[in-house]
Amino acid sequence: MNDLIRSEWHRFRRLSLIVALCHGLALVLMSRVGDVPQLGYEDQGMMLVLYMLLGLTLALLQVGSYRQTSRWLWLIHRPLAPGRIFAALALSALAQLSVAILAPLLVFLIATDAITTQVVDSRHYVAVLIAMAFTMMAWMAGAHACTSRYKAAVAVLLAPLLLALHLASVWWLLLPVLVCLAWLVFVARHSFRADRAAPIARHGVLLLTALPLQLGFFLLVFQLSRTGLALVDLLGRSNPGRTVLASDPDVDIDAMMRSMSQAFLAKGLEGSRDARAAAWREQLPLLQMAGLAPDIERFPVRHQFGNLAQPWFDDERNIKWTFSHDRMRFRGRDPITGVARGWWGTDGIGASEPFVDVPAYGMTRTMLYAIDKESQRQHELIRLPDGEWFVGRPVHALDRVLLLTNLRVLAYRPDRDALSTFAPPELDWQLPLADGEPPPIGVDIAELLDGWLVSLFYFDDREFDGFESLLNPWQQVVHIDADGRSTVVGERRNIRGHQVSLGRSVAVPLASWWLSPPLYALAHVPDRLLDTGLTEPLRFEALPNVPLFYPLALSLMLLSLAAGYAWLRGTPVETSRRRLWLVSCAVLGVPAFLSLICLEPRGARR
Amino acid sequence: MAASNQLRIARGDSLPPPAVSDYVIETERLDLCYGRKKALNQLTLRIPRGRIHAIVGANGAGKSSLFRILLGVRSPNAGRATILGHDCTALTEHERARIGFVNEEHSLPAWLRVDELVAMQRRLYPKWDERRYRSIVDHFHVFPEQRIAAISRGERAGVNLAMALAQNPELLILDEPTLGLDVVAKRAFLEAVLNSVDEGDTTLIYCSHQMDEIERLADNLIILERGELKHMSPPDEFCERVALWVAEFSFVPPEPGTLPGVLHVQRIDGLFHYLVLDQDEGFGALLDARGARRHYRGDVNLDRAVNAFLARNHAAPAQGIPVP
Repeated sequence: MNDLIRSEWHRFRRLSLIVALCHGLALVLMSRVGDVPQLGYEDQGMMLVLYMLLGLTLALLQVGSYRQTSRWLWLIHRPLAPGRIFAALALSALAQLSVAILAPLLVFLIATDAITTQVVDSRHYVAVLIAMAFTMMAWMAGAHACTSRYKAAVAVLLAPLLLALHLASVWWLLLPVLVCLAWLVFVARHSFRADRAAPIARHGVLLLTALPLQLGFFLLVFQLSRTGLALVDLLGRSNPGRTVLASDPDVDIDAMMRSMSQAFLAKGLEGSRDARAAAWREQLPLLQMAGLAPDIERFPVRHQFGNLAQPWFDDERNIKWTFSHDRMRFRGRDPITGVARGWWGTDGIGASEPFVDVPAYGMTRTMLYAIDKESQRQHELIRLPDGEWFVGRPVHALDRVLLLTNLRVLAYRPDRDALSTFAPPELDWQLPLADGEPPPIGVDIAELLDGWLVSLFYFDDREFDGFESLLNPWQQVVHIDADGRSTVVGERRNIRGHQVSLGRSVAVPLASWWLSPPLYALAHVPDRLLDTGLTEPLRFEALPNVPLFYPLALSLMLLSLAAGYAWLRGTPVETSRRRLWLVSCAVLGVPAFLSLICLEPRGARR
Repeated sequence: MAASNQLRIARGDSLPPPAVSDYVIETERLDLCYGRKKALNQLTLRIPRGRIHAIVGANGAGKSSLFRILLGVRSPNAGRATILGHDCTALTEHERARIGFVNEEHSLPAWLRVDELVAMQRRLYPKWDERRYRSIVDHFHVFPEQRIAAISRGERAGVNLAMALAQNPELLILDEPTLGLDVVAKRAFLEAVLNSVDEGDTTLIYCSHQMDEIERLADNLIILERGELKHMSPPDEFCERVALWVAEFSFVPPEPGTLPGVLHVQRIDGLFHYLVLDQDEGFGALLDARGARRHYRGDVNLDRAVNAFLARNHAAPAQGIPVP
């Protein structure tokens, strides 16, 4: 086995060293133009994708070169168990990828930590190990595809991406990452057999091989059906996305979004029975408006995998403040000379008191603060009670500080009696959000002479890890009087979306949970278990309540069951295995049937 | 009677019947399909231990498919196969150590040097015979420090064979090992095979399209055709089954299809050359009866006999007269 490891190492050592050199050079070059450890999570995500592509490429080069029968025979026909041959290939790949990816990253981090004043936390070292684990997962998926009957088996790689790639704490993420890596090692190892085309014999192995494949197929079918339906929609309708701006705000949500504010608020008052509504509608074009939106999808969490919170700059003093997750304080650094400029705690420069949460956008999840740049002090302005958190950035308008939380709309006015300009503001009025709804995607506020008009537009159109939940869009208009009392004065529910409309539901996502409800639920387990800082963590519903989609989901399950039955009729599998597959097709739907085609080839001997 | 009906399929009955455990390869009603095409069709075969057994057949006869099943990289659709007494679908590393395999492509890791590769194999196989390796590889003038990628195909074949034989396998399968080798390399290769087999007790399965090699090496000839076993006997016995009859006709010669056992007919200088299978002196009498002015019987070599045998169900060669 050691000889085989050495042989495979020998085979790719030059390539590994060249990639390592290029990788190291790229890191050095990147560090000259930016702060690599603090790159945004999108950039770091791109780096991770590149590493995974390298892992996949190595697998295709290494294991794929043995796909030809004569070469496969040379590899497999030797006095070594297939498991040991696989281990030799995998360990060799680990060595190659460690040289090409892990070593340059670690050397770069250690050097940055030791030589510069840039912030390098423990999370960065763990993140490197996680990146390496994902790279090995890509290698395993590639090896699995090379030794499987169907190349589509590479779809297993999508399962760990779904289950283990999250903006959570690196320490919490270690568990799903290691579980997924172990899972893929198991799958790849068991597909590494002398007879690559033979069906998997043991039921347990079959289940563990099928599940990631089904998750992968679920995502693929999801994306394909979504793209397909979007294309149909684009071709079949006057979609505003391909025409000039739609002009009829009655029927088009996008158009409505563009005409929000006065016109939109006036629309909400159209059906109002309040005697003052007509007068308000006349006044509206003359009134000053302000808008709020839930524009913070998530706050950073401590020891996060990826960077959500970006450094901020004190331009006057030329200091770049970067948050250290280890110390929970900002570290100051001169971006030109690299000289350290001290630490920033909750009270400002030099303060040793650490932040409780990782700050971003000048606030934390529950606290809004202001910075006095003159004295370099930090002042707490607003702190939310337990169970409540911000979902949008504060808006300074109408002489107020307007805030949107998961429970309320808040309007604060400056404390004019206070001596300090950084004194906490006073609550002017507050408006509770509708029960059982996620925060509105748009809040329009108009200041009247004797109060306020607030339009709340509830419509859940945001993506959630590639999936979208469903909700009928509706609008509510509330009047707040001078004493802060609120009264609903208008409500509108007959709003149609520009996407596919099925009955009374607006199917914005086009393709979603109905493809396979259990896999959809499984894909969201990490969202439930891991704290990824989402501002609406409870927004995900196991099965969004859209009545028309239940028969659709049921039909797909029955169709899969029928297709599975037809497929198995031509395949000589034993009864217990046949039952297992049929149950799987009935419960998991289309992805299970696709995995059945891959794993139970017709004509193969049992 | 049509020639195909007269084929005598010998299943080891020409060789002394060995004990059951002495068969290195046993297959029973083996089926293998690639889509709709049947590569092996109810193949039942028993190859006894010892000697050199040659497997011949046209392209697509199922030779390589048989080897794939025997080496466990392909499962049959039906039937059973054992190699050295073990089920081919569950070969362990211990059993694989007893089976050598050399294929036509001589797939070796091109990135290694010869000495590195040999050192690797030496550690892998406990019964490694260094003297044997040296004796064979010396035929090919390969230097240990040469990279596999840098040596010629013939040299690679030599190294491959030397390694396979140095493992001291009980069974060595050579699948068209001389394909693409020049005359010198081929001669060296065959000499190495003969010398090694004389020395040890290795059973050798030799698959080739080169009848001169088969004639020189094989003790036993196995002919496969369209996945079925068509013949198994020593080569001499097969040659005895095929005879050449030359006849001169005064008038119109008989249609080849009306003569029994005709594999191939060729007209040379006004004489008709009939290659016939399983026909005795009665064939001469038949020629007389059909108007032959004179005729005589001649011998055929293995190459001609096997080619005629294999070609009988295929399109006739350019110079021949088609046999229905």
